[in-house]
Amino acid sequence: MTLQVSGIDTFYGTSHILHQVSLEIGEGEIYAVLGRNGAGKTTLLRSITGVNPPRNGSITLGGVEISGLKSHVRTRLGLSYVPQGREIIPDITVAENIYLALLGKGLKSDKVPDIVFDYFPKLRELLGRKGGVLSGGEQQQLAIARALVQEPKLLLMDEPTEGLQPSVVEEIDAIIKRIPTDRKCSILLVEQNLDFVRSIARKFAILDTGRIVCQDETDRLTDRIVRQYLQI
Amino acid sequence: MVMQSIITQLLNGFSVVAILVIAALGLAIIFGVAGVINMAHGELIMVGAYTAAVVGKAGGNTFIAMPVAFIVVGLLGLAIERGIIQWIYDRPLETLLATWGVGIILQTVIKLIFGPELYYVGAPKILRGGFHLIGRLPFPWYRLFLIVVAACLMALVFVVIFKTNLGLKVRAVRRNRAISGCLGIDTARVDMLIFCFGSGLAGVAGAVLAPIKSVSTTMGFPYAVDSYMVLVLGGVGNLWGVVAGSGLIGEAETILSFIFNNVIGRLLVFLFIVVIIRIVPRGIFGYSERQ
Repeated sequence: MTLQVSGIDTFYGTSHILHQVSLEIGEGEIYAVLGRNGAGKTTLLRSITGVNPPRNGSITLGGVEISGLKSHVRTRLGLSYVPQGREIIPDITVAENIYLALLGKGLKSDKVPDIVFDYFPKLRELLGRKGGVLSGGEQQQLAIARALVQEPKLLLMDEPTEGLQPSVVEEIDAIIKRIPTDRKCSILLVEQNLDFVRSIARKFAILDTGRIVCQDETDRLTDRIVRQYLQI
Repeated sequence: MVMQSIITQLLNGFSVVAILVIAALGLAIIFGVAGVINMAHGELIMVGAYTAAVVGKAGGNTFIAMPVAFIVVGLLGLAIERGIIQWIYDRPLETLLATWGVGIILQTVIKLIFGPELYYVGAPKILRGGFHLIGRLPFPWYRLFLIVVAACLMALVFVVIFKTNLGLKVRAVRRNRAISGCLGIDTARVDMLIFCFGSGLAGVAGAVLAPIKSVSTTMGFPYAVDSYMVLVLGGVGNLWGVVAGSGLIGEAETILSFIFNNVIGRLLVFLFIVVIIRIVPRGIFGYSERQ
């Protein structure tokens, strides 16, 4: 098992956001988390990364308990994160964003690894540009590249296609599909596009007001479930 | 004659700018990266000056005092960060009060050790006296030395921030602490190192400023006030802001003080800063890029 989340409760101040959330992700698996806005999807990813650590419960990565560890230690153990809105460091270059990810993983390199250009050839011509001036699609490519150079065991992706134009969405979708087999890593994906989730993920969980209300294999993600839990 | 006076004031202004840069650099780094409003900055400068006084008594001079003050005050900064600040980074009011308290403690401890009397630190022999720049305009060697030190410290900071791995981490942490952590950067360690480095720079400031001011436990306060003015005017978190803020304040204060007097000159500089931050609230080098 790559990731095991058991009964976590996460708070923002006094607000109880996640209630006894549990899920398991196997090796090389893509697992989708669905839910309406404000359901707690991003909070779940932030709990796993350590940005908003849960107050109780357990999170193990590859059998190692990580719930009490700081974010940077979790990254070194094999967790990489593609956050919602990309969150590229804006005033450093594309190359420096990549070097930063390598440094964070404890890998030192004077050149950008080839894997970046294998997935995103366009980044080669953007290496010297500041992250803050890239388009949304280019920033998303950089965010994914930044995570991949860390050779993660588990990749957390928070709405990677949000706000992108359709042609870029198709490109990003194709790359996400390649990652588990190419990179031998699992993916925990927060995504609103149900067709994409059905085409890519083996299992899903639906969060509703911080609780997991449905958890199954994606071929059982029926229209009734969608109407009940996901439509406004 | 008028032209000579203007040139003299401009040159004096350069040395005031240099003093402001030297005093503000450490604060700019700590405030800009760690987000700590370090109310003990003036006292760190003061400890640097006392370090220079001790080095002087032991037979050393400013050249020796500078690295010694960097190490002594840097280690003091490390102790402050590890002992107090690391627990309260996310609470601005508490960091402000805590560093204010640290400043009072430092003043008291130094007064207990060295007594209430003033100390005088002489400039190195090689930097005593002056030279003539244009015509018969005199200019002290030590003022020129301050300008060189300011330029060298700026260069050092630029190299550390823009040419080293630590600098890359610092720039990332300054812009997005949470994501830097998720990228594997130990943000607490970056904060610690930057607090230590910024404190060390304040120590160097004290060591080089000691020969132009009597060394006392309260000597750091005016420098701390000037440093905050530089940061507010130049923009927090940008090293060019330190240069711009120091340049504007230093030259404006020198020229206005010459035309009117010191009090009115100072008052007009404050008014000038209020007007500027009314127009550009984030300072001259505030950020404006696509996120």
